Amino acid sequence: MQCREWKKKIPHYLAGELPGDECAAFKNHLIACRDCREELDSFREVDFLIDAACVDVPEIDLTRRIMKQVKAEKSCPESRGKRTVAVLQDLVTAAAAALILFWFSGPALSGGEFPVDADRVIKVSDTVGGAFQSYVDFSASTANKLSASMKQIGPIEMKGDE
Amino acid sequence: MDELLIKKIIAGDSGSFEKLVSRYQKKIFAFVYRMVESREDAGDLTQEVFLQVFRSLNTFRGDAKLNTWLYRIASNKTLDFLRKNKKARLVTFDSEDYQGEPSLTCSPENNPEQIVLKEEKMRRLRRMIAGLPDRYRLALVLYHYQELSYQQIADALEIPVKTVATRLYRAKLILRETLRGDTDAMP
Repeated sequence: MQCREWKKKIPHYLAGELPGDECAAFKNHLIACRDCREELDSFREVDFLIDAACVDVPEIDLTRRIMKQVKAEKSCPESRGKRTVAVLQDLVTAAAAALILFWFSGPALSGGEFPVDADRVIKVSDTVGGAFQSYVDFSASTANKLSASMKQIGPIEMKGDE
Repeated sequence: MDELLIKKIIAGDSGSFEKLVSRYQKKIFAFVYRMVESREDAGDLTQEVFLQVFRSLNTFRGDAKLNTWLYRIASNKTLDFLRKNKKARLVTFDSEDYQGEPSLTCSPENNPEQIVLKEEKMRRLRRMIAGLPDRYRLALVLYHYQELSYQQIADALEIPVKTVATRLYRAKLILRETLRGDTDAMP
């Protein structure tokens, strides 16, 4: 084995994690190789410094605090269920919004007007409520403005185009 | 002993869960504190770890030791926290949040000037350790400060033992080179 390979195994050796035969081979190599011995010493020093740099951990007992939380969760396990339902509702709303925006993006791309009246949208998103409706209204009017300003921009010429 | 405790908890004995928390909370708090460097955040994360344990004890497979499983949950939560708070991580153990005592005490070999110099060296070293990539620091903290073996780290992080060895080697290589540069730069 080359020195480069042995050097990679030095922390392993120092940790006593090198298998027996490999450990014996490394010890033999160390007798003959000054470079690896120096490398070993440098890693020994790093190990020593890492240990010395260990910070003292504040004395703290979290048992009561944790148990209080556990008891709270035990007493109302449905809160976790509610959280899951809330996340699912958000996901469904997001998916519906994406679908409707995708549906309305056709007229924008072809340069047409958006159906700003939200009656159709209300039918689709009956259960989602007023907040969602106003979101769609806002999206539609914003997209209309964007579409109108796009029409005002002339054809874009790229540098180097003849 | 842990297996019996888990069986009792699953059977609905909350006293046993309290025993589990009491047995492991210091260890997990120490690990998280060394990683996130804040008493408050470490307390919150430790609480989250045990809540997660409580929620998923039913799914706990007996093939892993409880100790390893706790470290796995704590490592995932800690790495997640560190990723989310990357920008706010300029505070290190130098800050007022660090509650530890000086690691060196007066002795005939250590005159006040030497103590100050050594303390400064330790502070710089802690900064260097805090600046290591999270994955390397995780392996370093688990091995050097939590005293887990290579195999235990591999089990906790669900990586091969060889990867643990490589991460520790690279972490130490970075520290050694940074220390060398630091010493060269000193007047």
